[in-house]
Amino acid sequence: MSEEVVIFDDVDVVFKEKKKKAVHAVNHVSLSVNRGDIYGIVGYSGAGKSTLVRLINLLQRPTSGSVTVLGDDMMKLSAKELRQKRRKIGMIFQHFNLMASRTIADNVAFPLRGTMPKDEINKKVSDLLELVGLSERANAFPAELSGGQKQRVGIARALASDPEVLISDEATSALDPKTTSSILELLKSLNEKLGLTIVLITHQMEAVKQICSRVAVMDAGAVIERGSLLEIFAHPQQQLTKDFIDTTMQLDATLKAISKQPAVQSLGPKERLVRLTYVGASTDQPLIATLYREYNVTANILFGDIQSLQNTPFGNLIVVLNGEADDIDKALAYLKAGDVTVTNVKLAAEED
Amino acid sequence: MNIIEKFFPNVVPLWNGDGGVVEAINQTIYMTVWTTIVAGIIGLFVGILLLLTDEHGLLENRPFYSVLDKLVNIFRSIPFIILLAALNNFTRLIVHTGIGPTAALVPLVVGTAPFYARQVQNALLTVDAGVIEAAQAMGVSPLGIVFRVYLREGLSELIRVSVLTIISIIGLTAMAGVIGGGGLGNLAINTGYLRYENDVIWVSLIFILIMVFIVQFIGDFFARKTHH
Repeated sequence: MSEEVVIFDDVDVVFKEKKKKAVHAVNHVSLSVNRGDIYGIVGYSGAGKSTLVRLINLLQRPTSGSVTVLGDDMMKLSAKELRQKRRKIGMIFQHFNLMASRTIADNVAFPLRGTMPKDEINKKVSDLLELVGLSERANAFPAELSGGQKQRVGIARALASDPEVLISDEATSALDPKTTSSILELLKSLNEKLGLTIVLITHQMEAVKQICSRVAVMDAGAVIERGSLLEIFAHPQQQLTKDFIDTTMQLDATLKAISKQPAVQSLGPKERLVRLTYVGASTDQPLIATLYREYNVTANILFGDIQSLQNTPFGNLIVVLNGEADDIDKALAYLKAGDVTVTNVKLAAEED
Repeated sequence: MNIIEKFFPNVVPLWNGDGGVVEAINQTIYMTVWTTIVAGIIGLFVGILLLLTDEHGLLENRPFYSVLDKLVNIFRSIPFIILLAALNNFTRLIVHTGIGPTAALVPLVVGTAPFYARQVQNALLTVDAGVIEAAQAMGVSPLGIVFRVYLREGLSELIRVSVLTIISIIGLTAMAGVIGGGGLGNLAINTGYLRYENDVIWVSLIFILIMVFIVQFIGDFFARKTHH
C-alpha cells in the first residue's frame, strides 16, 4: 500500500469578515494524496482550491478538521516544528513571488542561507539552476527574465530544501500555452526523477490532462468528484466535471459548428445524434465496422478526436447513427457493454 | 569681497562667532543628524511593529495595533511649535537642560519618530504580499522575514521615505529657536526678520536649500541603486 503523504480529514475553513456574510471557503473536505502522485485539483476561481492547498503548509489554518502531512498532525506542531516541516513542503505560485532585489542565484539560495556552509550552498544552487535549465542566468535579476524562466527559478527555489511534497498554486496560469507545457513537463520529470509528490491546483483542465495521475474537482468549497485521471475523463459524473473536460477537448465549439451542418439540422426519423467516449482497450476494436456488420447501423462521423492520457488512448466521436430504432438500441447496448460511454447530444443551436 | 559686502552687508560681520552663520549651520546639522539617528531607530522599530501587528500582519494583534496606531496618530497631529513648549519638563528630565540645540532634540525626536514610523509602515507595505507568503512557505521565521525580506525588498522605498523624513526634520529644526535651539531658522527670524536684515534671511534660506538638495541627491542615488 502506498504511503499517504497528505491527509485532509473533514477540513472546514470559514472566513468571517466584520459585518459580512461568512464565507465557507472549504466545506468538509476529506482527501488524501499518496506519495509519488501528481494530484490535480481543478475548479473555477473562488472554488476554494487555493485555500485548500494552503492548509497543507498551514499558511491557512482550518476552522475545524485535521491536516496530516508526512505523518504529523500540522495543528499540533510548535511554531518552530512547523517551520521545519514547511521546509519539506515546497510551493510555487502563479505570480512566481521572486525577490526582485536578489539575483536568480540568490533567490534560489534564499531558503538555504544559514543551514549549510557557503560553498555547499553555491554548489547546490548551481545544480538546481542546471536542473531547471537556467545556469546562464544565475546573475540576472528576476525583472530580466520571461514568465516561464521566472517559474523555473520558483521551482528551483522550492526544491532547494529538498521537499517531499510540492504545492503548485496555479503555477502555469500566467504563462502562454507553450511555456505552460514545458513547465508541466519539468514538473513531471521532477516527479519521476525525485519521487516528488505534487499537489497541483489549476483551472486549466489541459494542465491536469498533461501530467496528473489523480484528479479532484472542487466547487463552492467542496470536492464534488475525484478519481484517477482516466476514470474522471472516461466517466465524469458531475456536470461541472463534464464541462471542464469538454473545454479541453474544445467540444463546445465543435458542437456549435456541428449543429449548423445540414445533416444534423434535418435528422431523419431513423437517425440519432450521439457522442461516444471510450478509453483504452475499446479504442482498438473496430467499433464503427461492427455496428454496421452486426446491427445494420451506419455511423456518419461528424467529429473524432483521440488523445493520449497517461499513455492510454482516450477517444471522443460524435456520430449520426442511421438504422431501425430497434437496431440502434441494440447497437448502443453493445457499445455500452464494450465500455463505451454513449451520450445523446443536445444541439446548442436549439437554445440559441 | 566688495560684491559680497554690497549684497550681504549684514551677513559679513555676522559670519563667525556667537549667533553667527557658521554656528547656525552647525546647530542645524547637529539637530538634524541626531534627530535622524534617534528618531530613525525608534521610527523604524515602531513602523515594523505596526506592520507586523496590523490585520494580516505576520504577528497580527489587534488590541496592540490599535493602541500603537492611535498613539502615532495623536503625536503626529500635535503642531510642532506646541510640542516644543509642551515637552519642556520631559526634556529637562531626559537631557537635563531646557534650552539649546540639545534640548530641541527631545521634541524633534518625539515629533519625528511617529511620522517616520508611519512612513516605514507604508513603505514596507509595498513589499509584495506574495513574496512574504513565499518566505513563510519556506519556513522563514517572522524575524527572518523582517530582515531578509521586508527590509531588503522594501529598501528602495525605505530610502525614499527616509529622505522625505530628513527633509521634514530640517524643516522642524527651523522652529527650534523658540527654545533657544539656534540654527538657520532662528538666524533668519531673530536676526534677519526682527532686525529687518533681509540678506540674513536669504542666506539662511540658501543654506537650508543646499542641505535639502544634498540629502535629496544622496537619497535618490541610493534609491536608484537599490531598485531592480
